[in-house]
Amino acid sequence: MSTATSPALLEVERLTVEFGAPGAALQAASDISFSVDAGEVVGIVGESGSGKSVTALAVLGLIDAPGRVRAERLAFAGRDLQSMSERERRSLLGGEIAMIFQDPMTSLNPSFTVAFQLMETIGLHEGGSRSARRARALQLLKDVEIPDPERRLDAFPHQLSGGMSQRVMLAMAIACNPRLLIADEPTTALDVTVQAQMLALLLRLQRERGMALVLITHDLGVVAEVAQRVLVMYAGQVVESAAAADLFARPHHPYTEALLASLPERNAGRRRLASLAGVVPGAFDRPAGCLLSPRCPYVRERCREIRPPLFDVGASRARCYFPIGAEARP
Amino acid sequence: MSIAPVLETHALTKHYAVSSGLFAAAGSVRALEDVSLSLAPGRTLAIVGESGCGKSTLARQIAMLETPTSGSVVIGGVDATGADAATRRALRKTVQMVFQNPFASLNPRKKIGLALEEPLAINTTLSRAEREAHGRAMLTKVGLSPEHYRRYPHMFSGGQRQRVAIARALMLEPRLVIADEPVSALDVSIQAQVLNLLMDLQESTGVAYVFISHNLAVVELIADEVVVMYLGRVMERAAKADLFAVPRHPYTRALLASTPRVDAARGEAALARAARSALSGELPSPLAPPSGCVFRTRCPYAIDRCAEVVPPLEPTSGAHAAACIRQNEIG
Repeated sequence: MSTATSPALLEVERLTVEFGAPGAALQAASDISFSVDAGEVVGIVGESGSGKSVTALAVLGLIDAPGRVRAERLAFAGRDLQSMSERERRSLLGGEIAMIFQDPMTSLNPSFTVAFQLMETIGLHEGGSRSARRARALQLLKDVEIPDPERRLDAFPHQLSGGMSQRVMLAMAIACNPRLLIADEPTTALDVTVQAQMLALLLRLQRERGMALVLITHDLGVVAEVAQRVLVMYAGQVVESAAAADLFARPHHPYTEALLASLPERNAGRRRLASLAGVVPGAFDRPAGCLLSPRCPYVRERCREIRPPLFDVGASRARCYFPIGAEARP
Repeated sequence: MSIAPVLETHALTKHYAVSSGLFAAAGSVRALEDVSLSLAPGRTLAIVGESGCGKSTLARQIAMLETPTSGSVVIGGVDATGADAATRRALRKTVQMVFQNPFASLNPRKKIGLALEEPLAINTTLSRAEREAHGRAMLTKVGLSPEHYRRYPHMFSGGQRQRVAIARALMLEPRLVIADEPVSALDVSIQAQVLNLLMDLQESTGVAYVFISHNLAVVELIADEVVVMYLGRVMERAAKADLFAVPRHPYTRALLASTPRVDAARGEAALARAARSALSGELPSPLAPPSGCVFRTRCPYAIDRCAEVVPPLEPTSGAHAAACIRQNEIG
C-alpha cells in the first residue's frame, strides 16, 4: 500500500498486544499490519473490544506492564520505535506524533486554565518566552476556530462545553505541528451538529498541514465520510483493509458485509434490520478457527479449523478463505 | 383519528430552579416549554434532539417521575397531573421506561429473575411461583433463555442486559414504554438485534413507544411519527415519511445534513456538505435562552424578526408542523 520509493510514515507489521499471564494470555490485538503514508487519512473501525484503541496505544508506546507489545516492525518516518530509548520515544509524543481521545472532559486537567495547559505543551517541545508561548496558544485557539479565543485562553475546562474542550485538545495536539495525528473516537461524545463541525475542522487541518490522520471510530458513517483507507477490526484482528470507496461499495469480508447490512440507513423500506446473530467472542471463548466462524452465515468446515490469514482480494485485503465477490480459494 | 390516544401532553412546561452560588439570585432552567403531542396505541413516537434539548426531561414528565411546572400529561384519557395518589399509582403501571445504559439500570446485586419479578411483587397479587413463570416466559419473549433467570447482570453482555431491561419494562403489560436512547450504548450489530426486538414486541403486544434518540438513522427505521426538539421546544412535528422527505425547519435540515452516512459523499465533498448545513456555534444556555426563536443564534436563515416573536408550531399540511416563521420562504 505504501509506494516502494519512499517508506510510509508509520509502518506496523505483525503487531501483537497481550495482557495477562504468559500461559493464558489474552491477545487484545494480534497480527496487526498496516501502514500510513504522509498526509493520508486512515480509518480504523470496529465494535467495542475489537482492539482498535489498544492498537493505537501500542503504536504510541503507551501500553504499560503487564501488557506486552510485540511487533516485527514498528517504525515512524523510517525510525524503529522499538529500539529507540524511552526518552527518545517520549519526545516524539506530542511532537511529531500527537493524539486526541474520546472524552475531552477527562483529558484536560480541571485545575489549570486552557492557556496554562497549551503553554506547557509548547514549552516542553519548543520552549520560548512566556509571552511568545501565550501568543502561540492564542493562535492555536484561532486555528481550531474557538469563538472568542482571548477570553477562552483564561478559562478553566469546566467552563467549556464538550465541543469546545475537544477543540482545545485538538489545539494542544497540533501545537507542535505533528506529522501524524491519532484520533481515538474524537467525536463520539459530541452532538451530531457539533460532530460535523469537528470533522470538518479535522479534515481542514489535516489537509492544510499535510498531516497524516488515523481516525479510530465505531461509526461507519464517520469513516465513510472522512477516511481514504479503512481497516475493519474484529476481536483483535484486522479482518479487512481497503480503500474507503471500495469497502463501502464492495465489502469482501462477511463481517464487513454484516456490519454494513445492519445499518438502519441500508435497510430503508424494510421491516426488520439484517442482523448478525450472536455476540463478539470474549477473552476466553475465542474459537480455534476464524474468529467470526460461530456467527458467519457463510461458514464452512475449514473456517472452523484453521484461523485464516489476510488474503489479497483485488486491491483490498480480507481475512477470509471465501471472500465475498472473489473466486473461491482452493 | 378515532382511537383514543394512549398519551397526550398539553402545553407541557418544566422549569428547574437553580442558584449559581450562595449569594446569587436563583434562576430557572427552562428545560421544557410548551410541548404538546399525542400518541396513538401501538404506534411509535420518536423524540429527536441533541443534548440539552429537553428530551429526557420530557420522558420524566410522561413517566410521572416529576411534576411539570405547568401543562398536563394525559395517559389513556386520564389526566395524570391533577390526579390523586391512587390514580397516579394505577397510571404508573401502564407506563414503563427503558434507559440508555444497561450497565447502570440493572442492580448488580440482584439476580435478573428478581429484577423481573419485582414489578409483579409490588403491583399484583400473584404468588411467587406465578411470578417466576411470568418472568421465565418473558425472558423467552425477549430472546434470552429461561436458564438465564438466576444469573447476575455482570454475566450478560450489553445487548443481553438491554434485553433484560426491556423484559422488565414489559412485565406489567404496559400500554406505553418510554425508551430513552435504548440503543445508543450498543454496538451497531447488537443495535440491530435490539431494534428488531423492539419492533417484534410492538407487533405482538401492541405497546406504544416514546422512542428518544439522537440518531436519525435509527428513528427513520422505527418511528411512525417524529418530534424534533431544540432547547426545550418543539421545532418540528410530522409523520416520519414527511419529515425525512420534506424537512421544513432549518434545525431539522441541519440535523439531517450533519448525520454521517456511509453512502454519502466523501472527503472534500463531506467538508462542503458540512459548510452547507452551516450550523455555527453551540447550544445556548437554557438559563438564558435567546429571545424569540430559540434556534435563531445558530440558524443560517435567521432575520431580525426571529428575535421578536416565538414562532408558533404551524401546521403546513395535515399533521406536519414546524415552528419557523420563514418556513415557506426557505422552501
